[in-house]
Amino acid sequence: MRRSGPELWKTLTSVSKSGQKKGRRNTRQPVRPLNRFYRIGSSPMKVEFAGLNAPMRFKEEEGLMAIGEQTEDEIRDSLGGIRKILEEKDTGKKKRNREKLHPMERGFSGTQLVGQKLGAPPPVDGVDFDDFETYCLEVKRTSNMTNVFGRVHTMSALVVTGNGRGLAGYAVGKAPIHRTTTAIINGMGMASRKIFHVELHEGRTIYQDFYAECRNTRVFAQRRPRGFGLTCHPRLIKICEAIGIKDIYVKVEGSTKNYLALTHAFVTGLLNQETHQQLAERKGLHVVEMSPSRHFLPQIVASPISTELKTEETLEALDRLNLDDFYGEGRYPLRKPKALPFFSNLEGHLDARWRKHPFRNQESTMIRLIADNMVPRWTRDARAAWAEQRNERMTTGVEPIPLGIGLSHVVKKKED
Amino acid sequence: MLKLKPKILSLSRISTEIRFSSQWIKASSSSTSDDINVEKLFVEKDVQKLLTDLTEIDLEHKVFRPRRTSIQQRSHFALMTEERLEKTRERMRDEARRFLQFVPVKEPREESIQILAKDAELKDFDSSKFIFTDITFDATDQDRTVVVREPNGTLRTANPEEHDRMNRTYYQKPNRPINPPPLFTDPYLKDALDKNEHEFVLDWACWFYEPDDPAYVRLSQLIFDRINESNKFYVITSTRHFGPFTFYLALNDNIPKLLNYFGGLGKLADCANLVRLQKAVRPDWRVTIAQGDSDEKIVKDFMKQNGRFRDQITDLLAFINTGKVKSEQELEKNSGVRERVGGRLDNRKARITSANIRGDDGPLGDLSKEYSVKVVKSEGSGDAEGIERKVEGRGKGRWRSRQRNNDDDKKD
Repeated sequence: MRRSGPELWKTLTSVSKSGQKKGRRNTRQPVRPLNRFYRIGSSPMKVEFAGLNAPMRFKEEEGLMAIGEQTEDEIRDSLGGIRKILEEKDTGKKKRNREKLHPMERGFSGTQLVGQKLGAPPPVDGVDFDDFETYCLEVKRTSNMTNVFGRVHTMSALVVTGNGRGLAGYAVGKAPIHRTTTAIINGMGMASRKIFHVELHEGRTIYQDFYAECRNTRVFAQRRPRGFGLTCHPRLIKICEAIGIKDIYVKVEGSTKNYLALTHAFVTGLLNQETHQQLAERKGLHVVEMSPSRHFLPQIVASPISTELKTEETLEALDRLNLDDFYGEGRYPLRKPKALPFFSNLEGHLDARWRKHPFRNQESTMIRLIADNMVPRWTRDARAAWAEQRNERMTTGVEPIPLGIGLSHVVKKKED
Repeated sequence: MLKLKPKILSLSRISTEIRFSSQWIKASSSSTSDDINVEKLFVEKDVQKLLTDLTEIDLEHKVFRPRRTSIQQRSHFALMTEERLEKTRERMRDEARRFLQFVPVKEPREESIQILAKDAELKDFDSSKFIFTDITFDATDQDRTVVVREPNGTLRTANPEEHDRMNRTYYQKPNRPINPPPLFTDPYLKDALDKNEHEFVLDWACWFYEPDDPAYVRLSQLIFDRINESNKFYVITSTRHFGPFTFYLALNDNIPKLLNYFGGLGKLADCANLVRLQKAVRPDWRVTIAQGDSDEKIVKDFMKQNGRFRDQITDLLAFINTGKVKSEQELEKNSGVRERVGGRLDNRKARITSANIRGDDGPLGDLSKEYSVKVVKSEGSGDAEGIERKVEGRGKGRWRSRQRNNDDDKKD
């Protein structure tokens, strides 16, 4: 009975329905591309079959089969041919030649797109987002039960985009399973359609400390001085970069892994802020800045335009409240002292600290000696030369030898 | 020791009273008598009053200019009424007055020593000197008794250097090194003064030396001279060194340049005060000032009687004769330097007031040409009304501006 190649392979590779359920799919052999290794008709002996691997012969006396002449090299090649092909083929996983990213451009983890800079979103209706920068905060697989398909998985990507000058937007993009990039691109497009504006104090930080919450995520954000930097949750760092906040401290309490709720809470807090001008209008008072770099000299930042300025007599108790207390809604983040490392009270550690104790002033002395130009450089040679020089000056009597209570005696070397 | 103490005290008292020519009066200007007690003169009431009046209090740009602080701290914000703000400002002015308390003008310490006893029987008792220091609680660094027993048996008071060393040994000043910093000597000093860091150098010198240290007196005089030479009076105005500086100039009959500076700024009262100061410091000066003379008369009299300074006080002459203050350009240059002296430029957005809300520098910027801004007065204290500014747009671009022009024409 003759069978075709695919039919024969099917006997090796197919699994029955019940076998599939029992997980036999993985134990089956894959279809091997045999023609890559064995060309039909080729053999170590170089047998020539007319019409198969040799030209057709029409003369009777030549015969249908002949053995061709081979050189030594050809024999060796044909014998080692398969091994060579197998060696060339990479065993194991696929090798990827990914370009190495600069540490500043890397994302949160490995080579994943999450956390990397993704560039500007595409233009919408003639509005281009050239100066925008996009960050993907999270890619996850979500699932939904349907009565037709059963459990349907979807990729969902949380994307933030912003121009670093107060404009920003965030959205969740979705795509079918395994289509991570599509989900991110969808998210980019949607984020660029949901742009909001955040007022920034001095173009670098928030106007006031705020508390915001979403689901189980609670966010305490604090205004910080110039040059403080971003001290917050890594996802919030990316959001701050997109918006253009440069100095902030944020403490997140509750769920720190629900990134959508985190983003939502933070952005809500930012949008609920009021500028100093608005505060002045609302309260009818001057908003005065007292900067520590100016020794707390009061300087008016905003004064009411449309409302009347209040006087001391018309002030209410609420107006006299400290501004920082006023905005906190009575909530403060939990402040935990940093736990000491486990070794801090071990005997060996304490012993080592005690051994280092005599040298605790060495560094400041070094700095002082170099600053006073006593020792040109803090190398062994330079210090030895300096000591030599001083020794000479003292032995010749140019400089007095320091003697007295608490100083060691000068003992002359015994001459042997 | 108990017997010795009164003797030492009396000796030191004598040494403070007997002063020869003052270190603060330069030889070149000492055309007058040398018996001025500079320390006493400086603390005299009328001199102090004149010096305080001459030192303006510039809170924004000088006294409380932005400085680098050791700890980064965020600025505080507060809501204030007008009265409260004024009260706070007044308190800051008091604080500034405290900050601007003058550095005392002191004569450098005596280098001489007193021999208290010569005990020949103690000769060669040791190969080193023995130093005895009074470290009782009530002894201060200035009046501490320090005596030295020489190896030859002489007992003497310590010279200033030994005195300092003993102070340093028993009462350390944290972070004060033994050797003076290289900044106080010339290549570095010149660099610093070229960068207008006069106040910084003087402050550091104040912190490093005592005011009666000869090195301090020398250094401060050097810096004062350089300020006067290069006409950089703005670097030292409104600082705690301005009093001693002016006093030093007046003492040495060297005020015309400073007069010219005040004249250039149009400060006639300061000019007159400076002349008064000179008169108070040098009573034998030729210029006569009557009790009830006006400021202008005093300055004019000074100019009349000191014709030799005519080419040094051109700005003052221009101000007196034509009422012209120094040209805008020069002032601008000057203020530019001022800002640099003050540190980082303040590049925050301008404050919105009812004056600029409609203009280019308001919140709308260039759009203010297209749109008109209407401010609605709200009644009482609006709770959640937020900002009550209505931006009224009546059209866009060219059409709008044309219409507006028409409106303006109608108005005219």
